[in-house]
Amino acid sequence: MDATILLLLLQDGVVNGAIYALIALSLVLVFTVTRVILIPQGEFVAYGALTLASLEAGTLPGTVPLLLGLGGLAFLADCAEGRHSLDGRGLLRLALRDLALPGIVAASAWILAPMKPGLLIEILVTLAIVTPMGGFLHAVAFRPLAHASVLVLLIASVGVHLALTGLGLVFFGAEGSRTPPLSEASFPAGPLLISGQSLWMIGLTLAIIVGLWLFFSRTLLGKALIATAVNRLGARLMGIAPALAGRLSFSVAAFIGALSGVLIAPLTTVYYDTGFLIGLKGFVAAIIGGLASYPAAAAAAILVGIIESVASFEASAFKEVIVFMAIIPVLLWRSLRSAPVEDEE
Amino acid sequence: MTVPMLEAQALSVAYGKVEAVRGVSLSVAPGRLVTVLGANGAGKTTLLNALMGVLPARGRILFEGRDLTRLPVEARVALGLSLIPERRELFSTMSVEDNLTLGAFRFRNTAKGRGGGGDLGEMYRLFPRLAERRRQQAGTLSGGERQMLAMARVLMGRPRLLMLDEPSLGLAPLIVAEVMRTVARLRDEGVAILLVEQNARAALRIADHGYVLDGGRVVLEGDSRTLQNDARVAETYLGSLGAEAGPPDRIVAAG
Repeated sequence: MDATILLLLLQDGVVNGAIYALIALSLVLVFTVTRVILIPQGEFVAYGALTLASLEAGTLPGTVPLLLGLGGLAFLADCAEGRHSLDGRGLLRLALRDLALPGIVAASAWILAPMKPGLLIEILVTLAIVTPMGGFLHAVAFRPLAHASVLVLLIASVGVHLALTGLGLVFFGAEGSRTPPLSEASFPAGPLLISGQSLWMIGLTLAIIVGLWLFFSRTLLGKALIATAVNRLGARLMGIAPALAGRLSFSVAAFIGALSGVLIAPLTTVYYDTGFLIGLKGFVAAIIGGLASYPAAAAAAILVGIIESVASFEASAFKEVIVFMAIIPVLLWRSLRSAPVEDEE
Repeated sequence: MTVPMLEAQALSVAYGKVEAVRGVSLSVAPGRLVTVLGANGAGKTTLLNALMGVLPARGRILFEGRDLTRLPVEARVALGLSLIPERRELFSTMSVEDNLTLGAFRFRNTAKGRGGGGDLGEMYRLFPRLAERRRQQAGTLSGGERQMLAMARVLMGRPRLLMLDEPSLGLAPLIVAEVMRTVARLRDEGVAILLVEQNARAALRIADHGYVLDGGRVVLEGDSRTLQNDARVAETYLGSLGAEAGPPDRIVAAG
């Protein structure tokens, strides 16, 4: 391998690492706030990519009926949860959030899809379809388990992942899809050719990181999420409902997942089950960051991307093995270095 | 008689098979300061946690006549009930100012917006130490400052009934006096208070009414003067424990 190839591999690694970084950040967010290890994060990525691909093709995405169905289930779950305290206004708010909002999104997708309104509008519609699913999934599958152990939450998480993968197959079929790049431009830089697409990916990743930072440091809701992660009881005593924090963090995760899907769709053919592997690599990065540190997780994600691209050049048959083995020394180092972490509060 | 602000009827709390609170009934009238006394393990903390909804309980809890028993903690906070727990439960890695801001969280959706909650400037006037440390992480504060922050944070939520669990625990006598002074002033501003204390002398000095808990039951109840003069209370709780209260003159000045 000469210097040029190494540079190429690094470039490739950083671009893929940007996607893993987005996923790792949302995994850290969801875990610190709800103690759920969000295995279905990869499905949000696949849904984002496949939704955009069907909009590109001018058809109504399969995620639209799924969104309506999940909204209906979430409405039932919300009503059951609030049965002791719900009044007319509360019920109306739930109906707006769980039924009317997905309805409006579905209607606009239905109107816009055949018009092929251009990439930007299609991306916005994609985000609008996938983002609310995060909150709905939380209400249906995780809020009823809020007091369960991390292990039970993990098992539920695997269950949701399997269900979403299956639903992906039902709604999108076994065919893979690919979308046109966000930008056809390319810029020569020494021996490298930097594509507009990779600039978009890195730029949007940085924008999301800055956005998250502003959200956590400048807004009351963002601070409430951090507060829930730092001290759940303290947050409840300030009136911050764990359910609210959980729903919000799941929505942020779904948004970031869908955006990652939009970014990755032009690079690789995405199938209904492609998300899992992408999510797992983000998970490796999040674990290296201890599932607690945002900067460490983001840095580790770039490292995972680079390891992956070097491995796929040097030993492509073992590429995934090498990436996932990288977790073992980290776990060893972490368990030697720190006292056992308490599972429960 | 007016409707009590907070009323517990035959409240029982069990950890597994062990009943820590057994059929306790108590009430706090609007604007009154009521104290619950008792030795370690008498069930005081358990009682407060049950009233707040942190622990599940049997029996009934009424807040201004409204049944709270099945409402979660957050819904009780939204109605104006607040608890400063024994361990304070601050957001230790967040700044003092962020801790305070989050205290007003329950007002984020009201018509008045955040203006409905307490005001940062007011808290800094009340607790000047916090103003000096506004950018510092809450976890770096001293014990007394942590208690000040816990109080200021709760006041940002403008509670109508405030429950305090051992606010004097682990604090130097001078600071205990300051804490008690603040509690008494809150009562004078119209906030109903339920104060749990081991420091019975300090608590009875500012309280209007008191309950004595033993083995999870109310064994004695009365207005604070009666309790102060009660031989059993004096013997059991005001003896050696009372010494923690520090020189009485400071506390008198507080009232």
